[in-house]
Amino acid sequence: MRYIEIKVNNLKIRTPKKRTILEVCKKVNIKIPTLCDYPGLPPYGGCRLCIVEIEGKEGVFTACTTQVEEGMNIKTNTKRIKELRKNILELILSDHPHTCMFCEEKESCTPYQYSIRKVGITTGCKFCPKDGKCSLVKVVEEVGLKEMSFPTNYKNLSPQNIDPFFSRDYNLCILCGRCVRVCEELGEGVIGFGWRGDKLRVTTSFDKPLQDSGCEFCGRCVEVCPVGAIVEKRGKWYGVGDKKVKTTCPYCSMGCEVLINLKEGKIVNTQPYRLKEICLRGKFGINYIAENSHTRITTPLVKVGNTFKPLSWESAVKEAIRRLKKYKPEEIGFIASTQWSNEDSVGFKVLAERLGVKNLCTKEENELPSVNWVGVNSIIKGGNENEIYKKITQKKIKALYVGGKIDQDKLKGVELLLLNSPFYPNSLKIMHLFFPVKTFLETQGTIFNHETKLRYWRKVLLPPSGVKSDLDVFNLFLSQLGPPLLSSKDIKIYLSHLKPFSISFPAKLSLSSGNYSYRGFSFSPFLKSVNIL
Amino acid sequence: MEWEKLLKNSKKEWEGLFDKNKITIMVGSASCGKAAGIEEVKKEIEKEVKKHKITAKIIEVGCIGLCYLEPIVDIIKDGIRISYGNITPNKVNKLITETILHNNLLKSWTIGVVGKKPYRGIPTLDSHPMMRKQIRIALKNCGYIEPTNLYHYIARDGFKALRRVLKMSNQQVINIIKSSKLRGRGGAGFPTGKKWELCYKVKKKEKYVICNGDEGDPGAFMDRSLLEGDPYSVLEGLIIAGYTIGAKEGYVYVREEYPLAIQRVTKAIETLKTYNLLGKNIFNSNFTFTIHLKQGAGAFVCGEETALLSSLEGRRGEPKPRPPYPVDKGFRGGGTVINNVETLSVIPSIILKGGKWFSSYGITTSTGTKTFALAGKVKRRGLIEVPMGITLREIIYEVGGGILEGKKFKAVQTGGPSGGCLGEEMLDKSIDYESLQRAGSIMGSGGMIVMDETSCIVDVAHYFLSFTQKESCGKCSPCRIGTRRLKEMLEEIKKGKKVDLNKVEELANTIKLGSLCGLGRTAPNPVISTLKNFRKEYVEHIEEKKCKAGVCGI
Repeated sequence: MRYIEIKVNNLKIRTPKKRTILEVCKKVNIKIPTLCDYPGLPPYGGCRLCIVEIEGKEGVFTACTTQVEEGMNIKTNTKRIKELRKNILELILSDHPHTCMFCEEKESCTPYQYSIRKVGITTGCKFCPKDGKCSLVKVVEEVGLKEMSFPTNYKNLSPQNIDPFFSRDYNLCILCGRCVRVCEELGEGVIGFGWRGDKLRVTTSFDKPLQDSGCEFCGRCVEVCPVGAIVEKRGKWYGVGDKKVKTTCPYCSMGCEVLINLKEGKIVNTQPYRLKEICLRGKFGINYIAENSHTRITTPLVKVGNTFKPLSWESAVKEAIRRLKKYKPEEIGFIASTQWSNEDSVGFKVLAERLGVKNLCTKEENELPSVNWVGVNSIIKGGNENEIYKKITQKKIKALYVGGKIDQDKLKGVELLLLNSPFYPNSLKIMHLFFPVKTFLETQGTIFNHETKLRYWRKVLLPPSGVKSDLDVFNLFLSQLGPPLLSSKDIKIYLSHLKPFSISFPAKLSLSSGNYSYRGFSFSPFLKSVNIL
Repeated sequence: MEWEKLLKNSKKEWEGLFDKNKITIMVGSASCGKAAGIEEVKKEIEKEVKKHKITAKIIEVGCIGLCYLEPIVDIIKDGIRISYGNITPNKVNKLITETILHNNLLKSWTIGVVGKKPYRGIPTLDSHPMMRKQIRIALKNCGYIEPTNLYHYIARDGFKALRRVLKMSNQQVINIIKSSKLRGRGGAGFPTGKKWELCYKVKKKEKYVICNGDEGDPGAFMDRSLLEGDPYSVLEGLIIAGYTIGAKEGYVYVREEYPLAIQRVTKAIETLKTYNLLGKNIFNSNFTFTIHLKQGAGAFVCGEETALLSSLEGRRGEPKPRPPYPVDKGFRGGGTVINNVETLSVIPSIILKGGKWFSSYGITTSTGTKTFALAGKVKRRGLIEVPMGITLREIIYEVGGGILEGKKFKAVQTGGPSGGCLGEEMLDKSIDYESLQRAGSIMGSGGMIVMDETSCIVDVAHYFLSFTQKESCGKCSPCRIGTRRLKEMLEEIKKGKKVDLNKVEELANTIKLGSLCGLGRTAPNPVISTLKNFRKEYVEHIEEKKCKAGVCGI
């Protein structure tokens, strides 16, 4: 018998076996308040708010840990349960600053609470950076607690700001153990409980900073914390986001999907879409791509003499074609970026075909397989990268069109270099034409991750005016070369016939595996400049 | 060594102690004796014996239970064993010269004759007022034998039960235990036979038996004395439990604060290994069993079985919600039986004498005997073993000899910090699992602290609550925060401030009902029971700002 029948508040429910009461109730929309429960983490039974009664059984049971049994008659809302829940919640709040929940001025004050703050976080009643996302506030409403009979018992612990990316203020911690469980289940298991009784606290071994405890800064603890105890340093200054966009992390071929929180068109922070799929790169590294604006240039550049002159797109592409046509097709090399979308790659491939270029290869941008290594390689089907370098030294290839990072010292003797990049390569000495393109955040496209799963890049930010997507640049080339043009329908058809091949990939990434670069831009997570307090 | 030879050697060594031409001096060397200074006494005895060129064997024995008479020294001369109490080092010279050289028994120093008959006007130990009401099953060897001497244990029917069990089926053993109606002596009182049967029937490849020796109640020392005084009986019980449920491995979990118990259990395990009473093919059967000793790290909550398992697995000692119960999914995920020290120690006797014999003691729902650590303001303090169903009055006034200095009895705390404070009206109620629970206390592991009129009841409740509050693992909010808030309320009352007693009661009930494990669920018991039985004293503190006992200083 796979299904069983139970009753919840006299409502008959048919449910599969081996579900907890909480899971079943969630399915049928019966609300049970919880704090320590988190989907995907092992049940804990610590906060005791999800208590229910079971007919015929003495005492109360936590819905998060108790499995349903045939014929169970569960009551989630009896008078006794409601009272007990209130009392327990009151206890939890007696160890947590709570004026924001019971203040007389709450209603008129709340809309103005979440704003950019550059003052100490303990000023006034703004002791918390959770900015309206606090689970306690929601639970207080659910349980219907209206006032407190205990004063606040402030723990007076010093906030821990020493680590990069996020700070921890255990004065706000309610000890639900979500961070400890997520670190043990999906992270490195570097945090745990220390001490006992009312001195209980989340800590690392020997109470060392996270950096010295083997923390990989995946940020999952930040994600699951229901209160303001673990808070991202960055988002703290930005307030609450007004929009969420789902896209894919560009740092490696894992292709983890992420949610980007925006406020007035700017990135507040990044969240994992699935708790399993996230690491330091996706959680804390994406905004640096958006913030690297000082290296953004908005018009194409052409080298005249020793200086670069801005040009309109029309003239720049015309100039590019003029200069390329000076070479025989076999004297031209095309190097694709493995951080392109599938669509960009099709454009590049078609352009190469139109120009008769056969010296085609892909460029690895990272020490790890790049985000669209699978897609780009399946589309370009190019030759060996080293073969192209060899031909350069043999003076067989004289002109290059490159999509990403370039190894300058391998390009001696190249007479013409065209580059598509979102960032201006300051250190690149030999470059003749520069096309400023959009980052993955500013355009849409698809990629295949290492398992050949299709992932989407969506438009998250407005691009700087003037820059084009790589595909648009190739289309501009094609339109100047004359028909046939490449329509988006053509690309779709092309991709639907594509059979991408999967590649092997490390099962687990660590801080030391691979660098952190996107199209020539790298960020170093442990530089002081990143350590925003 | 062959069993017959082992048995013969054992008998020879044990009977040798009572050889009419030999002299044996036994010193009570459990922790209680050591605390009373037996080490110095022993040194003094060795010196005296040497000085007078006496050929005597000096051996260490466990705790006989008369702790208020420590240091205790027994002298076996002419085959008669006589116990002497309060032997301080300066008394040793007289004791040795008079009793051994001058044949003067020093009657006024004696406690009694350890034996069946009185001797030259000295009554038997069993007729001693503290011993008279006792039935010793768990403590049958405690204080009588050299604890780690396997010969002594075997000479007193040791390992006969295991030999018998190995010829029985698992279910046969379970049936004997079930017929004894033995219930867990750790405090909760779950039927032991049923627990074994549940685990025996669980279809798991790996099974374990664990002896819970994490006795942490303040004022309780039953398990310690047993492990120190008769480790083999506990180990034999553990091996039998292992055989019955189909386990190959057993663990003895002893708290780190019991160094002597750890030392003796370790030595006992080693000895059993050398005699092949542990290891492969025990007594040439197919049964293979090993025992490991694990030291706790000093957390009270590890006495709770799921927290104990976490600790044993090398993790933080933190309880987990049940179900799953350890019998289904316990140590390393295997089926696990966790029994208290005392529970295991009576197993061999039950096997040998039968379930009916055991259940003939006590009352129908609570059979057999129970050990108690009798402490506090009674005249005779120590370790006792009495049949279930005895009244508190019998324990306090007959076994314990009444209140010290003729003061008035006020309350008795049973079950340690998880138990309750019972007043005068409970004195004539029977001591069993159910009646104690009805009175707002618990059987617990057997701590029994007697208080007189000089104890303030609010202060007592505050003391026990402070203990559980500090020892809460902190996992669940009612226990972690609730005990703290409750303690703060009691502190206010102790200062004579206005506190709503209904609020105190409400909070106590929230903790009791809402907590995850036994620690939290029983932590408010001292407050609940005192509010029930001694509400007047609380009101006096609040309304009249008066502490009659003069403890709170208001």
